[in-house]
Amino acid sequence: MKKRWATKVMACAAAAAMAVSMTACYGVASTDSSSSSGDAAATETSDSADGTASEAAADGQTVISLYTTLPGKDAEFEELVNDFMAANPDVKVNYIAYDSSEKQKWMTLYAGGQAPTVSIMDAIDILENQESMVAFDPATEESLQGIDSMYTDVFKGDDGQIYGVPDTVTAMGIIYNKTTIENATGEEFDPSTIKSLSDLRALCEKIQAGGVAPLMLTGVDWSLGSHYLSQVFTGIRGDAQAQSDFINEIKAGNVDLKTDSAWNSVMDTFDLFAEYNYNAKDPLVGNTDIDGQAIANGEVAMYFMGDWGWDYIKDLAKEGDEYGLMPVPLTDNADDAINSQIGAFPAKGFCVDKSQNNEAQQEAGKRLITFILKGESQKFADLVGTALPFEASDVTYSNPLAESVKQYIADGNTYSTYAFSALLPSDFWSENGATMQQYLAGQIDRDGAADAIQAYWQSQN
Amino acid sequence: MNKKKKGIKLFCEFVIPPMLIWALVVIMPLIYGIYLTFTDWNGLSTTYNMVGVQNYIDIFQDKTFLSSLGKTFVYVFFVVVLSNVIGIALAVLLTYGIKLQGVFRTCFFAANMIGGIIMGYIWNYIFSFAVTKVGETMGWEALETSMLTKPTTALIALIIVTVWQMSGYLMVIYVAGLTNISSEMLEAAEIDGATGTQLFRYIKLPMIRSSVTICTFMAISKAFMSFDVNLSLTSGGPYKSTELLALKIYQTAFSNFEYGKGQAEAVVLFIIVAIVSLIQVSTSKKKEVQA
Repeated sequence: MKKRWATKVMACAAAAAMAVSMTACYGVASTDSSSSSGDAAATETSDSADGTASEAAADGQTVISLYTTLPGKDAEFEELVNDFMAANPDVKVNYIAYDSSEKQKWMTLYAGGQAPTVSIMDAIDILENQESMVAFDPATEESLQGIDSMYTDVFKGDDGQIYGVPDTVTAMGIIYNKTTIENATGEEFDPSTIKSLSDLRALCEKIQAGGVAPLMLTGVDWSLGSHYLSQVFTGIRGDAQAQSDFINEIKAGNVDLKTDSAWNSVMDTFDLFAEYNYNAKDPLVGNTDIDGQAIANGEVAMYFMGDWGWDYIKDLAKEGDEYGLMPVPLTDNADDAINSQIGAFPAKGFCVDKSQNNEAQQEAGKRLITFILKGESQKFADLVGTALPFEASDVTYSNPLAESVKQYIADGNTYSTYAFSALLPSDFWSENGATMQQYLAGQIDRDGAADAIQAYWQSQN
Repeated sequence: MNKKKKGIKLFCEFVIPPMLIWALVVIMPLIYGIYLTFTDWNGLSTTYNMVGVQNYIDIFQDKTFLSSLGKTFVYVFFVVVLSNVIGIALAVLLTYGIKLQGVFRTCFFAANMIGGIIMGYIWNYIFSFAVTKVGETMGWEALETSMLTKPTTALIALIIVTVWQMSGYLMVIYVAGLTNISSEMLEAAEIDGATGTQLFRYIKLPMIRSSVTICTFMAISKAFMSFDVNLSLTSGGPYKSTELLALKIYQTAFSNFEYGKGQAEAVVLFIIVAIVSLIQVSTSKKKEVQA
């Protein structure tokens, strides 16, 4: 008898749970539906925010969450979060572990009503979802103080407001192993002497004569499509406005890339990379670890990558070898300033969600960003391994490439990479990376690549 | 009357809860997913617009989607045929009663125990660095470059890895089917003078038709949905030449922030898998025999 009753109770409980879950699901769906009519998602926001707030009120703490898209840094972030909670006992931070699916996880968290209070995302991802993000006032926001507008501009939405705080400043360029170059050429190497494509070619010839492969490209779509190709649309066009204008022109079909001098000039340099490429035999074998090993072992002297590339090299770098990052000469004119400048840009940015986090949570989220960036600068610099977006004289970098970037920034030798961070669509790297791979593998010629890239831009209208 | 009441009560107690769970985790997401195909939702935004069937029009005008679809059919065909042929061959070999056949079965099945992502990375190293090293050392030019850097060989590599993983799993099902064949029947055929080939062709194969139905169905559905190996082995490369449909859907929905369009692609994939599977199961069922 007892058993039958127990079965009945269990069945009723299960049915009730299902019914409640279904209602909950319906609630989410109907909220979405109502928002589809164009209303602000006020109901959803306040409902979920209230839900979290009441959870917070229970123990007197504001509960927030942090989601990052930096792989392999969970332990360091958790330590930072613990430090923050120790200094801010009124806030509890739930750290959401890194997930390799990055954006998918982020979208899942949003769809599940668990939008992270603070996220570290690419600028384009933040801007594409700016309606859910808190706008930062550069005049009063503590975390933005001391950060150059060149880096905050990439987080500027259509309405002119800033929706992200740059986490670090990073730069792409040519990583060089000074020791390898000097051993191969028998001469002292000064990167500032490489001011044109011809200079780079002459250096490559000398290095090759010394029995070392001069250059290396990792043939992956993100490096070729997102990084290398982006140079056609950034500093070589001029400032942020000029870059934006050019992209609008190419979208409108008013540009013939095939006859565009900047395109041809950047691709001339690419051809040089392809000619002297350490991986020329099988150029699309893209493995940054193996390539990092090659430069660390002195098998190749220079590597197109960025200061983050130190991660691939550091464990194998020989004691005493000197490394640095230098600009990619994008033209053959030594007087062009672009050839002596590096394209520095914010790697990612902190953003604060307002669609599912209430004001107290948003405020606590901002405090967390300030704490990480300004309060624990050294720890954060060690964590990311690249330069911080503001001058911090007491911060030292174990990454020699970050030191190079810092020096270029200090000397004012940087060009605007606004288009790279804020104007290249999310699929730019995968779509055009494939085109660049085809070009590198000799499957299409330069005009074919230009046509494909032009067609991509025109499809963005 | 009491019996009827009891039946209703039992139905309520045991059928409704699982039905509700099924509705909740299968039917509702399916309906909601189909609804989203008529929107331009980006996957994050709190607002979206209804766009009618525009997403479906877009995907059938998208050359990359159609190319992905074509490649997926080629991939599925070879994976289904090869994994089943190898699965049956292994099962036949490992039911002869050879020494250590249990160990061999475990070894062949073990491939299926490795997660797709891990396996993709392992094979990536094998194709890109181990095989090329062998090629360089032995002076075999064909092996000196990675299979993953040319479109045709990359697709072949993808098929090899999937078949390698799947055939061990299918082998287990075929082994179960083969061991269920009555030994009297096999002995009778042997006494009648049937050769090994004839035994397989006229006795074993017809008797494991139900296993063939199940295995073919599983291979078809798994191959169409193949994602993890595709992602970690080739990432769709070189230059998107091995981007199968499931990976294409992922890229559209999550990398490009086109959730509505990605969902529409997923619905098309769902319809294709459903049609192919239904045809296969109904055709195979007709050929099944009873002992």
